[in-house]
Amino acid sequence: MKITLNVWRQSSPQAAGAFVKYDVDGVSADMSMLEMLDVLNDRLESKGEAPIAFDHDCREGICGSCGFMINGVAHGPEKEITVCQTHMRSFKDGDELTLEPWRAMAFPVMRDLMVDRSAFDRIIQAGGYVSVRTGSAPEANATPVMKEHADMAFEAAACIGCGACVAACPNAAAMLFTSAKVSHLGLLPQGAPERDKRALDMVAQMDKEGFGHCTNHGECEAVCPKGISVNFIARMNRDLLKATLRSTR
Amino acid sequence: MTLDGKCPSGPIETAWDTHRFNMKLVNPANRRKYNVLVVGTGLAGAACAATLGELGFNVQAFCYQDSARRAHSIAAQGGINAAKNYQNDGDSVHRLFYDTVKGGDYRSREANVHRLAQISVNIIDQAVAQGVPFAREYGGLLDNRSFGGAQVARTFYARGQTGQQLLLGAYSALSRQVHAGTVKLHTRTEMLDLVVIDGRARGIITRNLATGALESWIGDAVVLATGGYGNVFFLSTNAMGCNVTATYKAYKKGALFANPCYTQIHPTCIPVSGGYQSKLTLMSESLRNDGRVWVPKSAADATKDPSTLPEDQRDYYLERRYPSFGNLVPRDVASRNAKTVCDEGRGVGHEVDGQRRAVYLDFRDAIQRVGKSTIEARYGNLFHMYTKITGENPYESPMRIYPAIHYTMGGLWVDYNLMSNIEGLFVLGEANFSDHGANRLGASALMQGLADGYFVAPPTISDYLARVGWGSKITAEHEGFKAALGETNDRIQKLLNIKGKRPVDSFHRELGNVMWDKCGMSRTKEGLEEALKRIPEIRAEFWENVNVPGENKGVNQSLERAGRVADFLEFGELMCLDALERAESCGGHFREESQTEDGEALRDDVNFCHTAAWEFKGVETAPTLHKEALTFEHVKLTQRSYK
Amino acid sequence: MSWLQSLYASTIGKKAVMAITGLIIFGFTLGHMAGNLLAFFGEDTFNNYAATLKGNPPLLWGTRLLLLTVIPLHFLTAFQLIKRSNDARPATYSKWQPQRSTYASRTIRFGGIYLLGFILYHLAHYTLFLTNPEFGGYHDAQGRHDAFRMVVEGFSNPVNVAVYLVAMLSLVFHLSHGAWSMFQSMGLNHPKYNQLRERAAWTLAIVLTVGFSSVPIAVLTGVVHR
Repeated sequence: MKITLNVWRQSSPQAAGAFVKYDVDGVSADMSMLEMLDVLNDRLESKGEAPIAFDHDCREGICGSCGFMINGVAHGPEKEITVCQTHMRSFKDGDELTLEPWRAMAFPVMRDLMVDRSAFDRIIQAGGYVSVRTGSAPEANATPVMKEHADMAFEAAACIGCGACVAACPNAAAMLFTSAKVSHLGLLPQGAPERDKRALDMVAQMDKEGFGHCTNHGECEAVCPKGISVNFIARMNRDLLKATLRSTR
Repeated sequence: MTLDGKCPSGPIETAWDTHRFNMKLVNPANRRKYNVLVVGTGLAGAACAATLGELGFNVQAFCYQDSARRAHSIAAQGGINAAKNYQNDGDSVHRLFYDTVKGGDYRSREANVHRLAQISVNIIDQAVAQGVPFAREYGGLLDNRSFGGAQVARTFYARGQTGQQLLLGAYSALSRQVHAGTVKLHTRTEMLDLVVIDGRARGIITRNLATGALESWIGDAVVLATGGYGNVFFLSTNAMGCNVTATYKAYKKGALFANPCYTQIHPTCIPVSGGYQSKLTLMSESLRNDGRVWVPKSAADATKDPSTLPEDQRDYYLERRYPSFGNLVPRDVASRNAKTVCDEGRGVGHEVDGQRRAVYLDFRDAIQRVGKSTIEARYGNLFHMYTKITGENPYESPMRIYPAIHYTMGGLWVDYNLMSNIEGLFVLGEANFSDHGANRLGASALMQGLADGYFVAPPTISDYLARVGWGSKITAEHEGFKAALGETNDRIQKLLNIKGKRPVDSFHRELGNVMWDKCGMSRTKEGLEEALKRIPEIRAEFWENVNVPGENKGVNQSLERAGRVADFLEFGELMCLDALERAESCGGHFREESQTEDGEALRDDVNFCHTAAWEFKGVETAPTLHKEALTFEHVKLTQRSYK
Repeated sequence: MSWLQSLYASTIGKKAVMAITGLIIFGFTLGHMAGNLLAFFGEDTFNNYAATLKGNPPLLWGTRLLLLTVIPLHFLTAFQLIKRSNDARPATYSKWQPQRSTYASRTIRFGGIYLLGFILYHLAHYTLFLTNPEFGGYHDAQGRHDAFRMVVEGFSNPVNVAVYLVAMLSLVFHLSHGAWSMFQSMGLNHPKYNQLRERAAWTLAIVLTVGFSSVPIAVLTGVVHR
């Protein structure tokens, strides 16, 4: 197939970017989106041109490195997958695709389709953990956990931190990401002692990073490669309000 | 050089406890005076950095990814072993120890493996306390499943994302220490050299992948937890960024590289679909419980629609050759047989480079027997993944699978303390060689990474630091740092100045093809000698004709890849040399010259019951081989048989 | 009270303010609508209702004060949040395809702005008599303020009715998302009852809109007349 790409090219964080058009022929339906970019990049490199920069690593949809907008949809048209697992059979010969980086104040563009998502790390550092020293853990089966809660905690914990939720949100909010961690740990008895503090600290950091607020559009859930539910956002809202009312700070 | 594994003497059951008591401690008030550099933030690296931070040491942690959470430990699907015996099915520390030594085909160190089995139970406690959402039963207690042919159910799991959940646990512990200020995290930072001063590892040189800046980091100890080298094959189940650079640079600075030829092939991966293929995706081995592996009897039928081929035209080769184990033979046996039938021209699927490399994994009979819904309940997510990648429906036509490189058991040589022969250089997880011998059992990689990171390295590193003290003042102005920084910069400039005609990946693919053909699932003397001739030629062309566009400023992903490929082009040679030297078959290393009459791997315990550790002598000079003899006092040497 | 300040400073706290103020305004509009429907029972009932309200200053001023606090707070918070949202994405996409959001959710802020304008007009029209100073001087036979005449005359003007009906249309969209969103923002969420929330939001939005629209339409079509 032949695919025409409009790719956002930006040589550095400070530089002004622009869309550049590339015609890629010989695209196979079995290629992944990123393999198609590899082919284009090999051609660019052979000519001594700078290849298109994009984050990627595991290429099996779990590391969360990859992600950009394909025709205005985070991670492209297929549901519950990342761009690395989007295959070209999702498109047809002659299609024109616009590839654009995640856009948010808290995710500055580093180069081309690559953005800086370190704000996510700082949100986790603010409280996305259970304070347990190595060696101080009690016997694993000492605390039974209701299966329903363990399963729900897993569903929240499945977040890969790719940033699609922020990218797709009309307000560039990081609510789905933050709420997934707040809920994962809040649902388990091991995370209960720090539940209030965690919600307060993580939300404060989320706001400090400059993410927007939640207007309950559900765009985040729709593009999430792990299908994480907006129910967790409500859960975090509840946790934060409760924590505000009952904590001593 | 004599290799001393420093294994404690006395009964193996109490060796680790005794050893821990004998180790020196650092006074809590003095801990912050020590700097420890931890490279890699996978299970081993993140766990180690977090634990050292908790103890009060000053830790600098580095990863090439944009976040510590993305290390490739995250992709491990199956589970983690632990000798908890929650199922009351007869498991014990000794049984896990025994299974691991045997599974490693008697090429690992007994003392290390025993310690691993002992610590396995603490890992589960730790992970659960961190909030790792392991699968649970309705009673609220932890669930287990059996894995990798073990006769007990000792594997803890979190759906098909156990690695992800354990890594996020370690990442959260690390994040907590970053918040506490004991760990400084440097993401998008790649280690490019090790600095050794007066025989001690004293620092590293890194490149900031966002700005291109080269930096020197000074430490009292250096920890490498940088993973395996499976990407020497270009195509593997490793992440695209996985590389050998950190361990290889340490090797060039004098650390011994042990058993590089031990690589593990996973039999059930999605096959290559074209020359553009960038990586391979693994699918759980559990598929072989219900799927039947076959190829057409005649090569002429390779392109026919498989559902039209009658029963008598199909060759269920595993069931034919191994009537008792059938489709459930171990990974290496299943893999080699797939290669054999494809080499005979009976492979199916896409033709890539003139050969079809895939076999059918057919669920037709299983669906007839137990119904589609049962198969869907068992493998629904795997079938879904297969459909996403291939666009085909495995409920209607058989899956196509082929083996792929999955894990590397070899790595930097370490003693019982996980310290390499360079003082102060500790090597953890897949990056070291110590626990899996010639073959790793399923669900053991996560166990080893976390055992090393949480429980083994922190006390042994403390012991080392207590012994060397904090007095020695070294700055980045030291000759050792200046020289390493200069060399690193020169190499980068050299890569950038070639401006040849070929893109970086084309060399990596070419090397990968040679490695896969000659040093892959099955190896011969002639093939390895051919590879040893071919690799230096590819390397020479690389240094003349590669095109690395741009400059060393800002993000330059071509430059990142070029540096890694340059190291693979040297490392591949070392691997082939080790494979050539080891003229026996063991675990993942199959030498065609050393097989039984039935075509099974034949170990040679008389000549090869040792660890082969290689010492660097120059890029164009042959390395020196050192041998560490392996003794087996608790597990008797026996030959495997799966007939 | 610094915890209240820090709650208000957070995006989630602001959303809670939106939810609570929204709920109060919603409650008021329900009562307001019920009162309006008394127009169908004729002049006497309607004027009696108006006089009762006026004759109960604590209720009247209590409600007015509450609304004077809550409505500006609802709008102020909304404007602050909109600004925050704009700041959070300074560079917009050249292409953006909605996946899950609805027309109602995407237009809630524009509907809100229209409703703000409408409320000011509505106050000027029927409460402060700025647009029609003569309304204040209407009295019925019993000497009560003739609110019924005011309503009938007001809604005899088709342009006026159009302004009201557009406002009610905005209200249905605003509430259909807002009422559901309110539960979500306050953390009132349970898989078992979530569907109920959406249905309730739509039902109440439609009831309100139909109720409010019925009076002007009835006047214009002559169903309600003096």
